[in-house]
Amino acid sequence: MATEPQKSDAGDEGREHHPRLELDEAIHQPVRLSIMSILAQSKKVDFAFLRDYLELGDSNLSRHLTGLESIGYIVIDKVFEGKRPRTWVSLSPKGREAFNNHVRLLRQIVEHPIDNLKY
Amino acid sequence: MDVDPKEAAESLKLIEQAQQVVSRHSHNNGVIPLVWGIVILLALPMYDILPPPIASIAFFIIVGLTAFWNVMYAMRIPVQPWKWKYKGPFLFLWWGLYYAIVLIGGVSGLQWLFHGKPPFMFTIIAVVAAAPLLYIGWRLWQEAHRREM
Repeated sequence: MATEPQKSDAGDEGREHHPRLELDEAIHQPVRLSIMSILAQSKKVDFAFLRDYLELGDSNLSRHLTGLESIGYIVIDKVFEGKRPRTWVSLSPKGREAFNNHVRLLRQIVEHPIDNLKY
Repeated sequence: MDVDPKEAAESLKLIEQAQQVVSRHSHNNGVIPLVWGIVILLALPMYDILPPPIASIAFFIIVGLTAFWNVMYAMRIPVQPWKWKYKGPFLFLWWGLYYAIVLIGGVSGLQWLFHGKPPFMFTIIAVVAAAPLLYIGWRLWQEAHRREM
């Protein structure tokens, strides 16, 4: 899974950047990373389940979800199942790509720690 | 962002943990095949201990209640997995075929072998019929609950 560090395409051509500099700050925070990890393995996840699993309040989880939704990483779908309102959360294709890239970079950092010395 | 290898490893561990949670709370947790396996294992042997009409009524009540539970459980499950480890309808379609073969073959085969209804005939059939569901359900359950982080 590990690949060579990415080459920058902005200005400093040919210069390689350490993978840590390319990590997605929007999803690296533990709560958001947990949300993204669960969503990455799922078609859709119930809001209440995420809230209970992450031990967050409704408003706190909503804040994280709104943040991820605003950058296009997740989709929030409010529906009625019978008379019961339910909020489903799912990962968008953009979010899935960002998450996969984030995992790839994390693995790169773990598998090639010696590369730290080059940067 | 400054992330050292130790922090990166912790993040990967967090991802693995979160992903196992998906198995535990989705259809991949093996609960449905396990429950159906147990129901068959308990309901079919009633034909060995009760008169056939009463056993049939009890059998269909138990199966009906389990089917109702199954629908409710499936509706309330909070996570729909990205990849199903088994396709529910297909599993039960194949198992239904297997069950019919085991039931018809078992009843006629055992009666032919013993020249009449042997004791615990339906218990033997129940064990053979429930085995694949119990095996699949148990494997999924173990996979969803393993702790190797």
